[in-house]
Amino acid sequence: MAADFRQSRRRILIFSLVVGIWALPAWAQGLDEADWPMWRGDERGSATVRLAARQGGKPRRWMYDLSGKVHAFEPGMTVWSSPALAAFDGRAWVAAGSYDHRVYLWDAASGELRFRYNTGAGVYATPAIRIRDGRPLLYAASSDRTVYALDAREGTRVFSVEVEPYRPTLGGARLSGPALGHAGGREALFVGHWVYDKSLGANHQQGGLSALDAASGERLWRTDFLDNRISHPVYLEIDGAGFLCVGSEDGNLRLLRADSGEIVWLHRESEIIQGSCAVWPDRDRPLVFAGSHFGKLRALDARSGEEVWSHKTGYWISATPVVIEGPGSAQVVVGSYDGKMYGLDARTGALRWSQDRGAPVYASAAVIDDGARPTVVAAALDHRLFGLWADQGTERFSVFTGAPLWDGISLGESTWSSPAAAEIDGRWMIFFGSYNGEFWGLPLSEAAIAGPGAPWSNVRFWVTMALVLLGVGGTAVFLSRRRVRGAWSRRKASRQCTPSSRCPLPRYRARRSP
Amino acid sequence: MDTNYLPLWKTLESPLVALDESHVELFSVLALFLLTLVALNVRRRRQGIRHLVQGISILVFFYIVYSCLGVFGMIRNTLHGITLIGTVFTESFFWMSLPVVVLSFSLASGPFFCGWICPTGTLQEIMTIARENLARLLSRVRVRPGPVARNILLLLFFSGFLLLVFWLGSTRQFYVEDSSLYWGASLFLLVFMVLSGVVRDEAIRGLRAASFWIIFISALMRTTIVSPVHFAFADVRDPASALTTLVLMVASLFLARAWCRYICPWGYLMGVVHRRSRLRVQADGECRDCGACARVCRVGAIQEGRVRLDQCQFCMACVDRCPQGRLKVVDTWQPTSGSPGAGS
Repeated sequence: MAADFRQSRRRILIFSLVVGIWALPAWAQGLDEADWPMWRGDERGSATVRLAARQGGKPRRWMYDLSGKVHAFEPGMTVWSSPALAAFDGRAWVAAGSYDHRVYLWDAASGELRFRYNTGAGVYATPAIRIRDGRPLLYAASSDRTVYALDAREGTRVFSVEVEPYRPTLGGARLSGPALGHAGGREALFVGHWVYDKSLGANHQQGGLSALDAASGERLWRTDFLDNRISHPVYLEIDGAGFLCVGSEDGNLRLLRADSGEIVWLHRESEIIQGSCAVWPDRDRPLVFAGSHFGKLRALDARSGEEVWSHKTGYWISATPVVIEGPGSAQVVVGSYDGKMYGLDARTGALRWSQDRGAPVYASAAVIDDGARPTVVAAALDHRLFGLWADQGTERFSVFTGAPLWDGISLGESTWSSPAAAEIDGRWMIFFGSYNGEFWGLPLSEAAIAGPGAPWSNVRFWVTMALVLLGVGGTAVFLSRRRVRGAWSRRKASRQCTPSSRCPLPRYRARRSP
Repeated sequence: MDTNYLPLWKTLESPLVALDESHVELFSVLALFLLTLVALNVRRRRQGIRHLVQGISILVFFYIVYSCLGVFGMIRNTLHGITLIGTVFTESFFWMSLPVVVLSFSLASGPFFCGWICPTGTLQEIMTIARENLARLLSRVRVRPGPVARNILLLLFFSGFLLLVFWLGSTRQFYVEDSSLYWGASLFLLVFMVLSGVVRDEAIRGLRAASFWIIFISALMRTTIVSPVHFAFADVRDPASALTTLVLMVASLFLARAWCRYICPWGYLMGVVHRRSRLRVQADGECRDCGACARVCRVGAIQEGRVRLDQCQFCMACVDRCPQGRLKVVDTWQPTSGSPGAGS
């Protein structure tokens, strides 16, 4: 009896050990692996992720400087893609594209460069990262009209797909950030593309959206959007079916079936839609939020496209809204070019708070939930990264991120880098490609104690203008008087000319006054 | 780990993609130069053909030339291209190709870039022609605005420019790249001072050298200052550049080619090159002092009966207008023979 008991106990122990050994990697994998399927990380636009890093050091402040490596840059255009975050191999990683034609992957905690991959043109779109069967794949959309799937461990190419054929003309291309989802039962990669082949003979502009097989790059479908640049597509699921929300510069906001690219509904704005959608996947009534250059943030019924509410801000909205869910309610936060951040009730559109930043807010916000009160982090054209308490809109921190490498700022021209945030082993980090050519990893604890930075002022410009005018005017008078004295002396000499001597003055003087 | 792998077809394509299709731009500018060289040899209606070439050049620059060929950008690009020699040859070629083409042609055949091709000069000339036609129209109805009215109008334009800059600054922070606004304001000031008689036109031509060296030193310091007319290239919508372009056009309403006379740094460089160039306009034979050449010269390059090489833009207007045919284009590398067909 006792032997039987011991035997059965041994069996249970062995069984538990086997199960434990089998389950441990799966449990660990669940903790250590996280991917980034679209440009703001999820359909809510929160741009935040919790990562568990078993290896690597404690997250610290780091910066990767690219400003010295710039050979060519396009003024005023998108300079940095926003960061994409992921975890694999027990470490947290952050990826971004750059206008130096490369895609970078850094250790998110230390800033150590894992690899950089050269493409044929600037990478302005945020990469997407998916871990498939333990193999991390990084999808980068380059302006050489090609989508690259890279092995994120090795930085080697798995496959590449040219979404638009190359044409030997003068224009370029812009590809939007790839979004991962499902189409026709296959895992798909959705990427927007816009080419502007520009020449007198063959002016060709074409916008479109392509669905590719995420594993092989095979094209599943393609839909054209006339001649308009389109925003980063957002993949969402409603009632178990996959959809894509896409805005375009002709002011159309479309919801497409992910399986076929067929339009479900279309909402027309009077102005450009530059930012992407954010989705509140509420079971009763899922809502889609999008802003436009008309300045209105609209909430649309995700099933029908009907407008639920709208809120008018003072100027353009180029940023993507972010949805912050709380107990029993949700809030949508967005920045506007009127210099304000707005917090609105997601269900009713009622204004909860607004905060004046004093400079146009171009960046989409990221959410940090490090306690009872979440924080939204965004950036404005005074070159500051700032954090606001999401419940009241009051400032938590503000960091000056440096003077821009190239200003060329025409308001509303582009969507620049927006911050993303990650909790790495319990410590929150903010990642941001700043306009001075630096990519930052900034611990929240350090951001919160940083100084406000340099103010935005044009006083120096006007003082210099006054000095320049004084200098130019003074120099002109000096030169003129000196020359007049010279002319007088020549005239005096000419009076002393005799017919036999050679006159120093030429016979003819121009009669035409300037 | 630095991964430089590219698929084979990308490796073949990348030199062209990385150059932003500059081969197309280069070919376009080369074609423009060749067209001008042919036109230089046409004796009849040469000025009409010149205006036609200028019109084509505006189209080429606005619709085809995609990189910066602004008067500041060419200096900066040349220096930048030089620094890349030996490291990134394709980019070095990209940055240097167009300025080197302009300088080489100018050395070999005279500074006809300024008079025949430069879009900045063309815009000014359009305004000057408009001003001349307007003046002709007003004189028919016997309206002749005096110098006081002209100066007041200029001051109004200057004030309007400063107000526009102030308005621009209310929504936009200015940086060193916007310094072309200083050039614009200085141009207004200089034109006002010349027209009101405070300073003499020929005395302040040397300011172009100062303008050149400021741009040169700023380029060495890797500082970018956006050129006027640059806003029209590519998809750059730079308001500072646009405002400066507006200034140089308005200034040309009051004083022909004012930008070229006092400010243009590239014009200074072309003047230096012109002193060593193969072809130049030179006086030859008996002169009757009729002054027709000086009247027709829009940059005031003919002073005291001589052609100032540092100012001449090789537009050939004086050669075409000289009733005695005294002014000729001569080949200084072969002093005994003139350029075929260039003289009138």
